[in-house]
Amino acid sequence: MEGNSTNNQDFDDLKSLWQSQEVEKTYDTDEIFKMIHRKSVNSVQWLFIITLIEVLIGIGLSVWTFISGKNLYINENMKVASEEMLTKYENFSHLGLVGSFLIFGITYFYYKKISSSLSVSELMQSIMKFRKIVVGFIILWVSITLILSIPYMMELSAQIYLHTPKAGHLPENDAVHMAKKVGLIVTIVTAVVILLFSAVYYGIIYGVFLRRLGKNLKELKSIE
Amino acid sequence: MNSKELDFTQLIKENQGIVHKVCRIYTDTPEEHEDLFQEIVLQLWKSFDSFKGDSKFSTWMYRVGLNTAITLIRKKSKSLAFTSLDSEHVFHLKASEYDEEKEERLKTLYACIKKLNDVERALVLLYLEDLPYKDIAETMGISEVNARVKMNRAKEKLKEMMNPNYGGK
Repeated sequence: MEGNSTNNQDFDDLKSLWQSQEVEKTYDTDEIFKMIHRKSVNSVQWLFIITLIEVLIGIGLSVWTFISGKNLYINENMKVASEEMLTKYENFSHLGLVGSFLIFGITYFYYKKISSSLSVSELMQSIMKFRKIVVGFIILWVSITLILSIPYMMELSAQIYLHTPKAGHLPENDAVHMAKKVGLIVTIVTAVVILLFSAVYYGIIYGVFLRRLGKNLKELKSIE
Repeated sequence: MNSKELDFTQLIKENQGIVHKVCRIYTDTPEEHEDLFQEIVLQLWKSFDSFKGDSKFSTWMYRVGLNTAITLIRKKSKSLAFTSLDSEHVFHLKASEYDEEKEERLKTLYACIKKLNDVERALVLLYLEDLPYKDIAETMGISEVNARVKMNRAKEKLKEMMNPNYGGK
């Protein structure tokens, strides 16, 4: 009991010491006015901006494909691919774009919900949700790329193999069998390359910001 | 400057001590202090419309200021638009209460607060500013009981650190 009252006395002293400090008014209204027109880009904003840029690039490519009638997949090798397969691939790409739009909309919704005037724990929850959405966006984007590429790569590389002189010398059944094997190997290599590229790209771009947010959130979590 | 900007800048000018105190407990250098000060003012401006007047302007400032400080990534090097400010000179005891020993104790208090984690710093600041537990709980988004428990732990840590025999354990 006595210890407790000594404690309170100590802290009352600290409180009065704290309140006896005077803070100079270092900024005048003109300087404060300049501050409110300063551009602010914090980690959450950066994450949002990167997501926005990615979606805009996707839209840009789609619009360009639509207007010019060209697509990125046409080159010499692609001539072996059937028209049907290319159309299917393009349709899936558009579906992926719609998915990105949806994710972007959700990201925007959660981004807008983050406000400095929330309580500390509400702010933490909002940022946590935003982080989850961004991670979801990454997983969806990489999955779509993989799912779209696997059947396409398998068929395309098999077709390319069948058009090589080597395949021409083989009996038809053997050539088809070999083409399937080549297709599988090329697909596995492509999938690994996509995964590696995604790991490096998202690891660098998003990883930096997510780690920074994570560090602060860890501190905030101790409130719970 | 329109009337909203005029009202806002005037309110900030009058209450800038709150922002300075938040900055001082979360930063180590004058540059970081200034950078955080500007960021808090910007965040206050952005959420000025959400200030409904149902709490005191100062309480709202603590909330936005602490949220900004805790979530802001402290940039180590940054080009500054303002003259550098030495935070040591921003704070001093009121002339009528000046006492060298007190001044030293105040410096020690700041140094000890900086050793606490981000959330504990926020709690201690609100406590030292004499905010009622109801406002502290509301600012932190926790229950009043939880705020008291957390505060007691933070105070214990602070007390231990303020002890002259504390060896930076």
